Amino acid sequence: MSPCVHGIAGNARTASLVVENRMEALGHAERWLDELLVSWTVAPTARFALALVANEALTNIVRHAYRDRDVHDIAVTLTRASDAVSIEIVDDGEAFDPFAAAAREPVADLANAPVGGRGIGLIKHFADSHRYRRTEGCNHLILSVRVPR
Amino acid sequence: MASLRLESEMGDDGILRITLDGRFDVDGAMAVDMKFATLTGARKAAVLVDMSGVSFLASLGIRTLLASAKGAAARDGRLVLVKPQPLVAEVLTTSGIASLIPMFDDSELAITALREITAA
Repeated sequence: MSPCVHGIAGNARTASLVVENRMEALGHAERWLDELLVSWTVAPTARFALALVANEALTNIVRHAYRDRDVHDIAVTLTRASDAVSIEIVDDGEAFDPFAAAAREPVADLANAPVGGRGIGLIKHFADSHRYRRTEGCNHLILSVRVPR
Repeated sequence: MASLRLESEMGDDGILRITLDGRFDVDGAMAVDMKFATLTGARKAAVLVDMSGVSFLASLGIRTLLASAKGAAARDGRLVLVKPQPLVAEVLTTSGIASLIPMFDDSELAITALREITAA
């Protein structure tokens, strides 16, 4: 971007996608996210972290946020600021703050270890910041990963 | 659209080598989950999963690996992971999987770990 335009357009870029609450729809979100981050020239390590935290958050919503069998829309918004990329995921499922729950005790043996439940720990590790808020019947998850300028 | 390819080969040493290539994301996991379960379902299966070609791993992929490892162990077998890429290794460690499924950077050590199964 030319320095003439850059100052006017500002440092932020943003894009949104709406995806249905089905596992089969998440593949599309994954590809959309990856293509967008590549087009924003986000470094590979940051792309990995962003793809991972988005994956974990969306998987949890699809699996756990709804008690009905209806189709629900989940909104994913990506914003590129000068030193970070943030993801905001908004759903209309059951109120749930994933960061309020106590961390699970790790189970040390294979036979008794649960196959799931590891997503929140991965989000906390790979996102540089994570935040939840509830507004007007919606869950908002805001995750951000620092990126080199 | 499958983003993860799976190849498998049963060696003369009785070790089943599964080689994965691509992204172990939602699509990838859905593409290989059943095949993984089938391949690792035999009694006393000794399974070496070559992770060197896996560029991404998230929860659904973790579930597939863990379910297969649990299944193998429940039938007196063992599943081990070999040569995960650095970020994938970080996912495996952070999620606690590295404490549950043996992970090696060296194939020879992995094969040695499986010999107990194939020799018995």
